[in-house]
Amino acid sequence: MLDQFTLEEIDRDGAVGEAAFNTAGDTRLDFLKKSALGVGTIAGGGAILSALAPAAAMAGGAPPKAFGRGDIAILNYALTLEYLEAAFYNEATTNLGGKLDARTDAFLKIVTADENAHVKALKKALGSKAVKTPKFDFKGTTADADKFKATASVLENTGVHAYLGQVGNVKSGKVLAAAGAIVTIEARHAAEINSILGKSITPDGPFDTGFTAAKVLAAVKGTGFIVG
Amino acid sequence: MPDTRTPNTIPSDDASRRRFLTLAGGGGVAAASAFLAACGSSKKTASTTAASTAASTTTTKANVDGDIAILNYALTLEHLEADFYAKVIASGLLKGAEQDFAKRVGDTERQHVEAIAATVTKLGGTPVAAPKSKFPLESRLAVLNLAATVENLGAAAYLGKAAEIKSPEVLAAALSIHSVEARHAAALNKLLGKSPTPDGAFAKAATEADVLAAVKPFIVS
Repeated sequence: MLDQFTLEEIDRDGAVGEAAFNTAGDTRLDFLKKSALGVGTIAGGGAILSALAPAAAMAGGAPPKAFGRGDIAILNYALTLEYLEAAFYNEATTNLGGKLDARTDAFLKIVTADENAHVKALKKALGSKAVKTPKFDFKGTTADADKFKATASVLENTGVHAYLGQVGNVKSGKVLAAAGAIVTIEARHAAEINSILGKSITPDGPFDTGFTAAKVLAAVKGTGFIVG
Repeated sequence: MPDTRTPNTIPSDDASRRRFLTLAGGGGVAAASAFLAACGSSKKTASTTAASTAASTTTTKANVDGDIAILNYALTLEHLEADFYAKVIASGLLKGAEQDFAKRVGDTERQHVEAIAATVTKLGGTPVAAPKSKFPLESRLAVLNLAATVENLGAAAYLGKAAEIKSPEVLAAALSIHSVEARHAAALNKLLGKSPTPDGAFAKAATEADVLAAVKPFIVS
């Protein structure tokens, strides 16, 4: 499966390499600052345009410099979120695997496999530039079925917001294709766990929203799951 | 590879913007308030808009035209989806929660149609008309299977075009629709006893040729 994944094709020294960032003065982000935001301002009630330009894409919202630069930062930001998801599900599998209702157990199996595959693919794409995994403390949410389901729903829906929030910042078409192939899966996970919880499968309505990295990282920090 | 999706692609001179807003202003996409609320401060740089992009408008006409073509392709699929759900609802083959689901999804697809058509117009293009459609709606199971097929295809279709989209604004919009199609697909797959993630950890993209071939039986004209 992983062998078919487009991340493998990313030229680490080219599209995602240092050279690509030398033109950072003319990024999509700058363009958005200059133009697209202006449209929203004039609109006031420019409903459709607003619906078509998720907030984070308009506002930039790229990951902080600690993650690297340009697409590397975006991939490392994604990797960090995937580390979190994978660790959460691995621990949940240890604690709750086989003990949940059949549908939730099936969900756990799928997400555990998928999030570990995402980590593996992102690490492979980043090579030596990959960030290390943080240390986690999931505070009992991997050992209680109800807490597990509620937390999984937050993580999966946040994953969708996070990837969508970076769409306008990605420079490489291959990174974009890879991120797209992953965000689909996060959205499918989110729909399934929301459905298990009896929540709407499309909590944002017809258009999923993108969040800035700052917003996502603040939310992650707020969980207290990252302890080192 | 160099970035082929250069940023300066949206024709955003004041006249065309006003034209778009005039056309689109009454459209009433329900989700808009949420997006506006999430936008936060979006007023800072309005004054630089016209000057910074006017020069690029002509040089990137090919990019804009490419995005319009992609949007019209997406619009065709969204029209088909919206028609499909309208006919499903009218057929009465689904009951109770499943009928409600079809209504909600159908409403979502209609909003995708409105939003994409408005964007095509905004970019200076002409939105494609809804194709005349027909669907083999014979039973509850046939309807659900067809719905799952259409939604999975829709999600794969957006994914197949993502890297070709030049405007970051159009790209963000397309992918925010894409993930909603994926959510629909996951729910329908589950309803049918299938995996919500049939492609595994990485969703497969579909080419335009494959998608159009797959929906051809549903298009009368």
